[in-house]
Amino acid sequence: MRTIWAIAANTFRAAMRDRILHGIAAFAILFILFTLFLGSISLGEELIIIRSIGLGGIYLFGLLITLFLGGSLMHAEIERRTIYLILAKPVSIGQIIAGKFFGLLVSIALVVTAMGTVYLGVVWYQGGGFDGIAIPTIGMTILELALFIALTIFFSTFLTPLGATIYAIILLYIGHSLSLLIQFVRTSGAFARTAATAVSYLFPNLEKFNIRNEVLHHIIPSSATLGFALLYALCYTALLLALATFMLSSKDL
Amino acid sequence: MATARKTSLAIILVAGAIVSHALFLRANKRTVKPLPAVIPAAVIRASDLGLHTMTASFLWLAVIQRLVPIGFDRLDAYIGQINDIDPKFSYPYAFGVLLLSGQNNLDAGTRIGMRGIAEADTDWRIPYYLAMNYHTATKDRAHAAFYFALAARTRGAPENVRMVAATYGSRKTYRAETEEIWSALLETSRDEVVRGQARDILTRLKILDLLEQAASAYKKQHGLFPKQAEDLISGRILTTLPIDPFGSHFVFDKDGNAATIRP
Repeated sequence: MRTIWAIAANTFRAAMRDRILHGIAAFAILFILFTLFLGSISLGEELIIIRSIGLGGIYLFGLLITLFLGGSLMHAEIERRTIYLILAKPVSIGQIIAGKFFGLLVSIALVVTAMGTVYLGVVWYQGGGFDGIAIPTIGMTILELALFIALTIFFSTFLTPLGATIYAIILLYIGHSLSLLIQFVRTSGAFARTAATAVSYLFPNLEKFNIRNEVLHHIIPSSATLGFALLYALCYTALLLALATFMLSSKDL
Repeated sequence: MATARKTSLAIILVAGAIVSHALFLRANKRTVKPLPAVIPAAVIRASDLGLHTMTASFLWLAVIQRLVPIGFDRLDAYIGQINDIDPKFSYPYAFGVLLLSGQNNLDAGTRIGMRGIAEADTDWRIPYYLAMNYHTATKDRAHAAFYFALAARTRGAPENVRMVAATYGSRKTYRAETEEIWSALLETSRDEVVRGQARDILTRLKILDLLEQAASAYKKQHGLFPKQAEDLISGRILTTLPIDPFGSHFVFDKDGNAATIRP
Protein backbone atom coordinates (compact mmCIF):
# COMPACT_ATOMS: atom_id res chain seq x y z
CA MET A 1 0.00 0.00 0.00
CA ARG A 2 2.81 2.41 0.85
CA THR A 3 4.31 1.81 -2.61
CA ILE A 4 1.01 2.55 -4.31
CA TRP A 5 0.63 5.65 -2.17
CA ALA A 6 4.14 6.85 -3.07
CA ILE A 7 3.55 6.37 -6.81
CA ALA A 8 0.13 8.02 -6.50
CA ALA A 9 1.58 11.01 -4.68
CA ASN A 10 4.26 11.39 -7.33
CA THR A 11 1.71 11.12 -10.15
CA PHE A 12 -0.49 13.65 -8.39
CA ARG A 13 2.38 16.12 -8.03
CA ALA A 14 3.34 15.68 -11.69
CA ALA A 15 -0.27 16.18 -12.82
CA MET A 16 -0.71 19.28 -10.65
CA ARG A 17 2.42 20.79 -12.22
CA ASP A 18 1.17 20.08 -15.74
CA ARG A 19 0.42 23.31 -17.62
CA ILE A 20 -2.22 21.58 -19.72
CA LEU A 21 -4.21 20.88 -16.57
CA HIS A 22 -3.82 24.48 -15.40
CA GLY A 23 -4.93 25.81 -18.77
CA ILE A 24 -7.98 23.56 -19.07
CA ALA A 25 -9.00 24.16 -15.44
CA ALA A 26 -8.71 27.93 -15.86
CA PHE A 27 -10.74 27.81 -19.06
CA ALA A 28 -13.33 25.60 -17.38
CA ILE A 29 -13.78 28.09 -14.54
CA LEU A 30 -14.12 30.94 -17.04
CA PHE A 31 -16.72 28.87 -18.90
CA ILE A 32 -18.74 28.31 -15.74
CA LEU A 33 -18.62 32.03 -14.96
CA PHE A 34 -19.67 32.69 -18.57
CA THR A 35 -22.92 30.82 -17.90
CA LEU A 36 -24.01 33.92 -15.96
CA PHE A 37 -24.01 35.82 -19.26
CA LEU A 38 -25.75 32.96 -21.07
CA GLY A 39 -28.42 32.94 -18.37
CA SER A 40 -28.97 36.68 -18.84
CA ILE A 41 -29.93 36.16 -22.51
CA SER A 42 -32.24 33.21 -21.91
CA LEU A 43 -35.50 35.19 -21.54
CA GLY A 44 -35.97 34.52 -17.84
CA GLU A 45 -34.68 30.93 -17.71
CA GLU A 46 -31.38 31.81 -16.04
CA LEU A 47 -31.21 28.99 -13.51
CA ILE A 48 -32.03 26.23 -15.98
CA ILE A 49 -29.42 27.51 -18.43
CA ILE A 50 -26.74 27.99 -15.76
CA ARG A 51 -27.35 24.59 -14.21
CA SER A 52 -27.58 22.59 -17.43
CA ILE A 53 -24.61 24.24 -19.12
CA GLY A 54 -22.61 24.45 -15.88
CA LEU A 55 -22.95 20.76 -15.03
CA GLY A 56 -22.40 19.78 -18.65
CA GLY A 57 -19.29 21.95 -18.78
CA ILE A 58 -17.86 20.33 -15.64
CA TYR A 59 -18.26 16.93 -17.28
CA LEU A 60 -16.78 17.97 -20.64
CA PHE A 61 -13.75 19.72 -19.15
CA GLY A 62 -13.17 16.80 -16.78
CA LEU A 63 -13.16 14.53 -19.84
CA LEU A 64 -10.75 16.81 -21.65
CA ILE A 65 -8.29 16.79 -18.75
CA THR A 66 -8.56 13.00 -18.50
CA LEU A 67 -7.88 12.58 -22.21
CA PHE A 68 -4.85 14.85 -22.17
CA LEU A 69 -3.27 13.50 -19.00
CA GLY A 70 -4.36 9.87 -19.11
CA GLY A 71 -3.64 9.20 -22.77
CA SER A 72 0.11 9.52 -22.38
CA LEU A 73 0.47 8.38 -18.78
CA MET A 74 2.02 4.94 -19.27
CA HIS A 75 3.37 5.59 -22.74
CA ALA A 76 5.51 8.45 -21.46
CA GLU A 77 6.99 6.25 -18.72
CA ILE A 78 7.85 3.53 -21.25
CA GLU A 79 9.27 5.90 -23.88
CA ARG A 80 11.40 7.82 -21.40
CA ARG A 81 12.43 4.48 -19.83
CA THR A 82 11.66 5.87 -16.37
CA ILE A 83 9.58 2.77 -15.73
CA TYR A 84 12.78 0.72 -15.50
CA LEU A 85 13.95 2.84 -12.57
CA ILE A 86 10.72 2.02 -10.76
CA LEU A 87 10.81 -1.68 -11.73
CA ALA A 88 14.40 -1.93 -10.46
CA LYS A 89 12.93 -1.50 -7.01
CA PRO A 90 10.70 -4.18 -5.44
CA VAL A 91 7.60 -2.74 -7.13
CA SER A 92 5.19 -4.76 -9.21
CA ILE A 93 3.61 -3.58 -12.43
CA GLY A 94 0.20 -3.79 -10.75
CA GLN A 95 1.34 -1.40 -8.04
CA ILE A 96 2.63 1.03 -10.67
CA ILE A 97 -0.66 0.91 -12.56
CA ALA A 98 -2.70 1.33 -9.35
CA GLY A 99 -0.51 4.20 -8.16
CA LYS A 100 -0.76 5.99 -11.49
CA PHE A 101 -4.52 5.50 -11.48
CA PHE A 102 -5.06 6.85 -7.99
CA GLY A 103 -2.69 9.76 -8.51
CA LEU A 104 -4.47 10.85 -11.66
CA LEU A 105 -7.91 10.22 -10.14
CA VAL A 106 -7.18 12.42 -7.13
CA SER A 107 -5.84 15.25 -9.31
CA ILE A 108 -8.83 15.13 -11.65
CA ALA A 109 -11.26 14.81 -8.73
CA LEU A 110 -9.67 17.89 -7.19
CA VAL A 111 -10.08 19.91 -10.38
CA VAL A 112 -13.67 18.71 -10.83
CA THR A 113 -14.39 19.64 -7.21
CA ALA A 114 -12.94 23.10 -7.80
CA MET A 115 -15.16 23.49 -10.88
CA GLY A 116 -18.10 22.24 -8.82
CA THR A 117 -17.42 24.83 -6.13
CA VAL A 118 -17.39 27.63 -8.70
CA TYR A 119 -20.60 26.22 -10.17
CA LEU A 120 -22.31 26.21 -6.76
CA GLY A 121 -21.17 29.79 -6.24
CA VAL A 122 -22.60 30.85 -9.60
CA VAL A 123 -25.96 29.18 -8.92
CA TRP A 124 -26.12 30.78 -5.46
CA TYR A 125 -25.21 34.18 -6.94
CA GLN A 126 -28.02 33.85 -9.49
CA GLY A 127 -30.51 33.28 -6.68
CA GLY A 128 -30.77 29.50 -6.91
CA GLY A 129 -29.62 28.97 -3.32
CA PHE A 130 -27.46 26.00 -2.46
CA ASP A 131 -27.79 23.47 -5.30
CA GLY A 132 -27.28 20.41 -3.12
CA ILE A 133 -28.48 17.96 -5.73
CA ALA A 134 -25.51 18.94 -7.89
CA ILE A 135 -23.18 17.23 -5.39
CA PRO A 136 -24.21 13.64 -6.17
CA THR A 137 -24.27 14.65 -9.85
CA ILE A 138 -20.66 15.78 -9.63
CA GLY A 139 -19.88 12.64 -7.62
CA MET A 140 -21.23 10.48 -10.46
CA THR A 141 -19.18 12.55 -12.91
CA ILE A 142 -16.05 11.72 -10.91
CA LEU A 143 -17.04 8.02 -10.93
CA GLU A 144 -17.43 8.09 -14.70
CA LEU A 145 -14.10 9.88 -15.05
CA ALA A 146 -12.49 7.23 -12.83
CA LEU A 147 -13.66 4.55 -15.23
CA PHE A 148 -12.48 6.69 -18.12
CA ILE A 149 -9.05 7.15 -16.50
CA ALA A 150 -8.74 3.38 -16.19
CA LEU A 151 -9.71 3.08 -19.85
CA THR A 152 -7.09 5.58 -21.01
CA ILE A 153 -4.42 3.93 -18.82
CA PHE A 154 -5.33 0.57 -20.38
CA PHE A 155 -5.01 1.95 -23.91
CA SER A 156 -1.83 3.84 -23.11
CA THR A 157 -0.07 0.56 -22.15
CA PHE A 158 -0.04 -0.60 -25.76
CA LEU A 159 -0.93 2.41 -27.94
CA THR A 160 0.64 5.74 -28.69
CA PRO A 161 -0.92 8.74 -26.90
CA LEU A 162 -2.84 9.68 -30.07
CA GLY A 163 -4.09 6.14 -30.55
CA ALA A 164 -5.10 5.86 -26.88
CA THR A 165 -6.99 9.15 -27.10
CA ILE A 166 -8.82 8.17 -30.30
CA TYR A 167 -9.86 4.77 -28.96
CA ALA A 168 -10.95 6.32 -25.66
CA ILE A 169 -13.12 8.87 -27.50
CA ILE A 170 -14.68 6.11 -29.62
CA LEU A 171 -15.52 4.12 -26.49
CA LEU A 172 -16.85 7.28 -24.87
CA TYR A 173 -19.40 7.69 -27.68
CA ILE A 174 -20.23 3.99 -27.66
CA GLY A 175 -20.64 4.10 -23.88
CA HIS A 176 -23.21 6.88 -24.13
CA SER A 177 -25.07 5.38 -27.09
CA LEU A 178 -25.67 1.86 -25.79
CA SER A 179 -29.15 2.58 -24.44
CA LEU A 180 -30.10 4.12 -27.80
CA LEU A 181 -28.80 0.99 -29.52
CA ILE A 182 -30.99 -1.22 -27.31
CA GLN A 183 -34.02 0.98 -28.09
CA PHE A 184 -33.21 0.89 -31.80
CA VAL A 185 -33.08 -2.95 -32.03
CA ARG A 186 -36.19 -3.48 -29.93
CA THR A 187 -38.26 -4.17 -33.04
CA SER A 188 -35.51 -6.09 -34.85
CA GLY A 189 -34.91 -9.84 -34.99
CA ALA A 190 -33.66 -12.00 -32.14
CA PHE A 191 -30.07 -12.07 -33.43
CA ALA A 192 -29.84 -8.27 -33.58
CA ARG A 193 -31.35 -7.95 -30.10
CA THR A 194 -28.96 -10.56 -28.65
CA ALA A 195 -25.96 -8.96 -30.34
CA ALA A 196 -26.97 -5.50 -29.11
CA THR A 197 -27.46 -6.80 -25.56
CA ALA A 198 -24.04 -8.51 -25.66
CA VAL A 199 -22.44 -5.28 -26.86
CA SER A 200 -24.19 -3.27 -24.15
CA TYR A 201 -22.77 -5.62 -21.49
CA LEU A 202 -19.30 -5.82 -23.02
CA PHE A 203 -18.61 -2.14 -23.57
CA PRO A 204 -18.53 0.29 -20.64
CA ASN A 205 -22.04 1.65 -20.22
CA LEU A 206 -21.36 5.26 -19.27
CA GLU A 207 -24.97 6.48 -19.36
CA LYS A 208 -25.60 4.98 -15.93
CA PHE A 209 -23.41 7.73 -14.42
CA ASN A 210 -25.33 10.45 -16.25
CA ILE A 211 -27.93 11.71 -13.77
CA ARG A 212 -27.65 15.31 -14.97
CA ASN A 213 -30.78 15.25 -17.12
CA GLU A 214 -32.92 13.80 -14.31
CA VAL A 215 -31.52 16.01 -11.57
CA LEU A 216 -32.03 19.18 -13.62
CA HIS A 217 -35.71 18.28 -13.87
CA HIS A 218 -35.99 17.51 -10.14
CA ILE A 219 -36.04 13.73 -10.56
CA ILE A 220 -33.89 12.26 -7.80
CA PRO A 221 -32.30 8.90 -8.70
CA SER A 222 -32.84 6.14 -6.17
CA SER A 223 -30.08 4.98 -3.82
CA ALA A 224 -30.23 1.60 -5.54
CA THR A 225 -29.47 3.22 -8.91
CA LEU A 226 -26.56 5.13 -7.45
CA GLY A 227 -25.33 2.11 -5.51
CA PHE A 228 -25.33 -0.18 -8.54
CA ALA A 229 -23.61 2.49 -10.63
CA LEU A 230 -20.87 2.70 -7.97
CA LEU A 231 -20.49 -1.09 -7.93
CA TYR A 232 -20.31 -1.14 -11.74
CA ALA A 233 -17.63 1.57 -11.72
CA LEU A 234 -15.56 -0.31 -9.14
CA CYS A 235 -15.77 -3.62 -11.00
CA TYR A 236 -15.15 -2.23 -14.48
CA THR A 237 -12.31 0.02 -13.30
CA ALA A 238 -10.64 -2.87 -11.49
CA LEU A 239 -11.04 -5.01 -14.62
CA LEU A 240 -9.45 -2.35 -16.84
CA LEU A 241 -6.55 -1.85 -14.42
CA ALA A 242 -6.04 -5.63 -14.29
CA LEU A 243 -6.02 -5.75 -18.10
CA ALA A 244 -3.55 -2.85 -18.17
CA THR A 245 -1.32 -4.73 -15.74
CA PHE A 246 -1.52 -7.82 -17.94
CA MET A 247 -0.72 -5.83 -21.11
CA LEU A 248 2.28 -4.15 -19.50
CA SER A 249 3.53 -7.40 -17.97
CA SER A 250 3.44 -9.14 -21.32
CA LYS A 251 5.37 -6.27 -22.94
CA ASP A 252 9.05 -6.86 -23.57
CA LEU A 253 10.28 -4.04 -21.32
CA MET B 1 17.72 47.21 -38.49
CA ALA B 2 16.52 43.63 -38.97
CA THR B 3 14.44 43.95 -35.79
CA ALA B 4 12.86 47.19 -37.04
CA ARG B 5 12.00 45.52 -40.37
CA LYS B 6 10.46 42.55 -38.56
CA THR B 7 8.47 44.86 -36.27
CA SER B 8 7.18 46.86 -39.26
CA LEU B 9 6.20 43.66 -41.04
CA ALA B 10 4.36 42.43 -37.95
CA ILE B 11 2.48 45.73 -37.63
CA ILE B 12 1.53 45.65 -41.33
CA LEU B 13 0.27 42.08 -41.04
CA VAL B 14 -1.78 42.81 -37.90
CA ALA B 15 -3.25 45.92 -39.55
CA GLY B 16 -4.00 43.88 -42.66
CA ALA B 17 -5.84 41.24 -40.60
CA ILE B 18 -7.87 43.90 -38.75
CA VAL B 19 -8.79 45.80 -41.92
CA SER B 20 -9.74 42.64 -43.87
CA HIS B 21 -11.87 41.47 -40.94
CA ALA B 22 -13.67 44.83 -40.76
CA LEU B 23 -14.29 44.74 -44.53
CA PHE B 24 -15.54 41.16 -44.26
CA LEU B 25 -18.01 42.12 -41.52
CA ARG B 26 -19.29 45.02 -43.60
CA ALA B 27 -19.74 42.80 -46.66
CA ASN B 28 -21.29 39.99 -44.61
CA LYS B 29 -23.94 42.29 -43.10
CA ARG B 30 -25.58 42.63 -46.49
CA THR B 31 -25.81 38.91 -47.20
CA VAL B 32 -28.91 37.05 -46.07
CA LYS B 33 -27.90 34.25 -43.77
CA PRO B 34 -29.79 31.00 -44.25
CA LEU B 35 -31.58 29.62 -41.25
CA PRO B 36 -29.78 26.74 -39.53
CA ALA B 37 -30.90 23.27 -40.52
CA VAL B 38 -33.28 21.45 -38.21
CA ILE B 39 -31.21 18.37 -37.45
CA PRO B 40 -33.33 15.42 -36.26
CA ALA B 41 -33.35 15.25 -32.49
CA ALA B 42 -32.48 11.53 -32.57
CA VAL B 43 -29.18 12.36 -34.30
CA ILE B 44 -28.39 15.05 -31.76
CA ARG B 45 -29.29 12.82 -28.82
CA ALA B 46 -27.08 10.05 -30.20
CA SER B 47 -24.06 12.34 -30.47
CA ASP B 48 -24.26 14.69 -27.47
CA LEU B 49 -22.72 12.25 -24.95
CA GLY B 50 -25.94 12.22 -22.92
CA LEU B 51 -25.81 15.99 -22.38
CA HIS B 52 -29.40 16.44 -23.57
CA THR B 53 -30.34 19.27 -21.21
CA MET B 54 -27.17 21.19 -22.09
CA THR B 55 -27.76 20.71 -25.83
CA ALA B 56 -31.39 21.78 -25.50
CA SER B 57 -30.27 24.86 -23.52
CA PHE B 58 -27.79 25.87 -26.23
CA LEU B 59 -30.41 25.36 -28.95
CA TRP B 60 -32.86 27.45 -26.94
CA LEU B 61 -30.34 30.28 -26.71
CA ALA B 62 -29.65 29.97 -30.45
CA VAL B 63 -33.38 30.12 -31.28
CA ILE B 64 -34.16 33.15 -29.16
CA GLN B 65 -31.00 35.05 -30.04
CA ARG B 66 -30.90 34.37 -33.74
CA LEU B 67 -34.37 33.46 -34.85
CA VAL B 68 -36.54 35.83 -32.86
CA PRO B 69 -34.76 39.01 -34.06
CA ILE B 70 -34.85 37.96 -37.72
CA GLY B 71 -38.30 36.50 -37.88
CA PHE B 72 -40.31 33.51 -36.76
CA ASP B 73 -39.88 31.32 -39.82
CA ARG B 74 -39.96 27.64 -38.89
CA LEU B 75 -40.22 28.52 -35.19
CA ASP B 76 -42.43 25.47 -34.64
CA ALA B 77 -39.75 23.19 -36.13
CA TYR B 78 -37.01 24.62 -33.91
CA ILE B 79 -39.17 24.51 -30.79
CA GLY B 80 -40.12 20.92 -31.69
CA GLN B 81 -36.44 20.05 -31.98
CA ILE B 82 -35.74 21.40 -28.48
CA ASN B 83 -38.79 19.55 -27.12
CA ASP B 84 -37.60 16.28 -28.68
CA ILE B 85 -34.09 16.61 -27.23
CA ASP B 86 -35.24 17.57 -23.74
CA PRO B 87 -38.98 16.91 -23.41
CA LYS B 88 -39.05 18.20 -19.83
CA PHE B 89 -37.65 21.69 -20.59
CA SER B 90 -40.88 23.59 -20.02
CA TYR B 91 -40.39 27.18 -21.15
CA PRO B 92 -39.90 26.49 -24.91
CA TYR B 93 -43.38 24.94 -24.92
CA ALA B 94 -44.92 28.02 -23.31
CA PHE B 95 -42.95 30.36 -25.57
CA GLY B 96 -44.00 28.38 -28.64
CA VAL B 97 -47.69 28.47 -27.66
CA LEU B 98 -47.65 32.25 -27.31
CA LEU B 99 -45.53 33.23 -30.29
CA LEU B 100 -46.93 30.74 -32.79
CA SER B 101 -50.48 31.91 -32.15
CA GLY B 102 -49.23 35.46 -32.72
CA GLN B 103 -47.96 34.22 -36.10
CA ASN B 104 -51.39 32.83 -36.99
CA ASN B 105 -50.06 29.32 -36.51
CA LEU B 106 -52.55 28.45 -33.81
CA ASP B 107 -52.66 24.70 -34.51
CA ALA B 108 -48.92 24.31 -34.07
CA GLY B 109 -49.02 26.41 -30.89
CA THR B 110 -51.87 24.34 -29.45
CA ARG B 111 -50.11 21.08 -30.35
CA ILE B 112 -46.92 22.23 -28.63
CA GLY B 113 -48.90 23.36 -25.58
CA MET B 114 -50.73 20.04 -25.25
CA ARG B 115 -47.45 18.17 -25.48
CA GLY B 116 -45.91 20.48 -22.90
CA ILE B 117 -48.71 19.81 -20.41
CA ALA B 118 -48.22 16.05 -20.88
CA GLU B 119 -44.42 15.86 -20.90
CA ALA B 120 -42.74 18.96 -19.47
CA ASP B 121 -41.86 19.87 -15.91
CA THR B 122 -44.80 21.37 -14.03
CA ASP B 123 -45.09 24.93 -15.31
CA TRP B 124 -48.20 27.11 -14.96
CA ARG B 125 -47.20 29.16 -18.01
CA ILE B 126 -48.03 26.39 -20.50
CA PRO B 127 -51.75 26.03 -19.62
CA TYR B 128 -52.01 29.80 -19.02
CA TYR B 129 -50.68 30.66 -22.48
CA LEU B 130 -52.88 27.96 -24.01
CA ALA B 131 -55.88 29.48 -22.24
CA MET B 132 -54.89 32.91 -23.63
CA ASN B 133 -54.87 31.42 -27.13
CA TYR B 134 -58.34 29.96 -26.68
CA HIS B 135 -59.63 33.23 -25.24
CA THR B 136 -58.03 35.53 -27.85
CA ALA B 137 -57.71 33.60 -31.09
CA THR B 138 -60.63 31.17 -31.16
CA LYS B 139 -62.86 32.84 -28.51
CA ASP B 140 -63.40 29.34 -27.11
CA ARG B 141 -64.27 30.37 -23.56
CA ALA B 142 -64.92 26.85 -22.32
CA HIS B 143 -61.41 25.67 -23.15
CA ALA B 144 -59.98 28.96 -21.95
CA ALA B 145 -61.67 28.56 -18.56
CA PHE B 146 -60.43 24.96 -18.32
CA TYR B 147 -56.80 25.88 -18.95
CA PHE B 148 -56.90 28.96 -16.74
CA ALA B 149 -58.13 26.72 -13.93
CA LEU B 150 -55.36 24.22 -14.68
CA ALA B 151 -52.77 27.00 -14.58
CA ALA B 152 -54.15 28.26 -11.26
CA ARG B 153 -53.90 24.79 -9.73
CA THR B 154 -50.31 24.30 -10.91
CA ARG B 155 -47.63 24.53 -8.25
CA GLY B 156 -45.88 27.92 -8.33
CA ALA B 157 -48.70 29.80 -10.08
CA PRO B 158 -48.57 33.47 -8.99
CA GLU B 159 -51.48 35.09 -7.14
CA ASN B 160 -52.61 37.26 -10.05
CA VAL B 161 -52.79 34.19 -12.32
CA ARG B 162 -55.06 32.54 -9.75
CA MET B 163 -57.15 35.73 -9.68
CA VAL B 164 -57.54 35.60 -13.46
CA ALA B 165 -58.71 32.00 -13.27
CA ALA B 166 -61.07 32.71 -10.39
CA THR B 167 -62.73 35.71 -12.06
CA TYR B 168 -62.70 34.49 -15.67
CA GLY B 169 -66.13 34.88 -17.18
CA SER B 170 -67.32 37.35 -14.55
CA ARG B 171 -65.97 40.55 -16.20
CA LYS B 172 -68.45 42.74 -18.02
CA THR B 173 -66.65 42.90 -21.32
CA TYR B 174 -64.42 40.67 -23.36
CA ARG B 175 -61.88 43.48 -23.61
CA ALA B 176 -61.74 43.92 -19.82
CA GLU B 177 -61.04 40.21 -19.46
CA THR B 178 -58.35 40.34 -22.12
CA GLU B 179 -56.74 43.30 -20.37
CA GLU B 180 -56.70 41.46 -17.06
CA ILE B 181 -55.17 38.34 -18.65
CA TRP B 182 -52.37 40.26 -20.36
CA SER B 183 -51.73 42.46 -17.30
CA ALA B 184 -51.19 39.34 -15.19
CA LEU B 185 -48.74 38.12 -17.81
CA LEU B 186 -46.87 41.43 -17.88
CA GLU B 187 -46.53 41.40 -14.10
CA THR B 188 -45.34 37.80 -13.82
CA SER B 189 -43.18 37.17 -16.88
CA ARG B 190 -39.40 37.73 -16.89
CA ASP B 191 -39.20 37.10 -20.62
CA GLU B 192 -38.57 40.37 -22.45
CA VAL B 193 -40.12 39.09 -25.69
CA VAL B 194 -43.34 38.08 -23.93
CA ARG B 195 -43.39 41.26 -21.81
CA GLY B 196 -42.95 43.29 -24.99
CA GLN B 197 -45.89 41.49 -26.57
CA ALA B 198 -48.01 42.02 -23.43
CA ARG B 199 -47.17 45.75 -23.39
CA ASP B 200 -48.10 46.05 -27.07
CA ILE B 201 -51.41 44.30 -26.59
CA LEU B 202 -52.30 46.37 -23.55
CA THR B 203 -51.37 49.50 -25.52
CA ARG B 204 -53.64 48.35 -28.34
CA LEU B 205 -56.51 47.74 -25.91
CA LYS B 206 -56.08 51.23 -24.45
CA ILE B 207 -56.05 52.68 -27.98
CA LEU B 208 -59.27 50.83 -28.79
CA ASP B 209 -60.90 52.27 -25.63
CA LEU B 210 -59.70 55.76 -26.57
CA LEU B 211 -60.99 55.42 -30.13
CA GLU B 212 -64.40 54.24 -28.93
CA GLN B 213 -64.66 57.26 -26.63
CA ALA B 214 -63.64 59.44 -29.58
CA ALA B 215 -66.22 57.67 -31.78
CA SER B 216 -68.96 58.49 -29.23
CA ALA B 217 -67.88 62.12 -29.28
CA TYR B 218 -67.89 62.01 -33.13
CA LYS B 219 -71.44 60.63 -33.15
CA LYS B 220 -72.65 63.39 -30.81
CA GLN B 221 -71.29 65.98 -33.26
CA HIS B 222 -72.05 64.34 -36.60
CA GLY B 223 -74.98 62.05 -35.83
CA LEU B 224 -73.15 58.93 -37.11
CA PHE B 225 -70.31 56.79 -35.94
CA PRO B 226 -67.11 57.11 -37.99
CA LYS B 227 -66.30 54.32 -40.46
CA GLN B 228 -62.55 54.52 -40.06
CA ALA B 229 -60.12 56.14 -37.64
CA GLU B 230 -59.13 58.90 -40.12
CA ASP B 231 -62.66 60.26 -39.88
CA LEU B 232 -61.88 61.30 -36.30
CA ILE B 233 -59.15 63.61 -37.64
CA SER B 234 -61.30 65.13 -40.37
CA GLY B 235 -64.15 65.40 -37.83
CA ARG B 236 -61.79 67.33 -35.49
CA ILE B 237 -62.20 64.92 -32.61
CA LEU B 238 -58.55 63.93 -32.55
CA THR B 239 -55.51 65.82 -33.83
CA THR B 240 -53.39 62.72 -34.41
CA LEU B 241 -54.14 59.05 -34.67
CA PRO B 242 -52.53 56.62 -32.27
CA ILE B 243 -50.37 54.01 -33.96
CA ASP B 244 -51.14 50.35 -33.43
CA PRO B 245 -48.05 48.54 -32.04
CA PHE B 246 -48.71 45.68 -34.49
CA GLY B 247 -49.08 47.95 -37.51
CA SER B 248 -52.80 47.27 -38.06
CA HIS B 249 -55.39 49.86 -39.06
CA PHE B 250 -58.34 50.83 -36.90
CA VAL B 251 -61.93 50.57 -38.12
CA PHE B 252 -65.35 50.96 -36.55
CA ASP B 253 -68.50 48.91 -36.88
CA LYS B 254 -71.96 50.45 -37.12
CA ASP B 255 -72.25 50.53 -33.32
CA GLY B 256 -69.00 52.46 -32.89
CA ASN B 257 -66.98 49.51 -31.62
CA ALA B 258 -63.34 49.80 -32.62
CA ALA B 259 -61.44 46.90 -34.10
CA THR B 260 -58.20 46.32 -35.99
CA ILE B 261 -57.59 45.02 -39.49
CA ARG B 262 -54.31 44.07 -41.10
CA PRO B 263 -53.23 46.53 -43.87
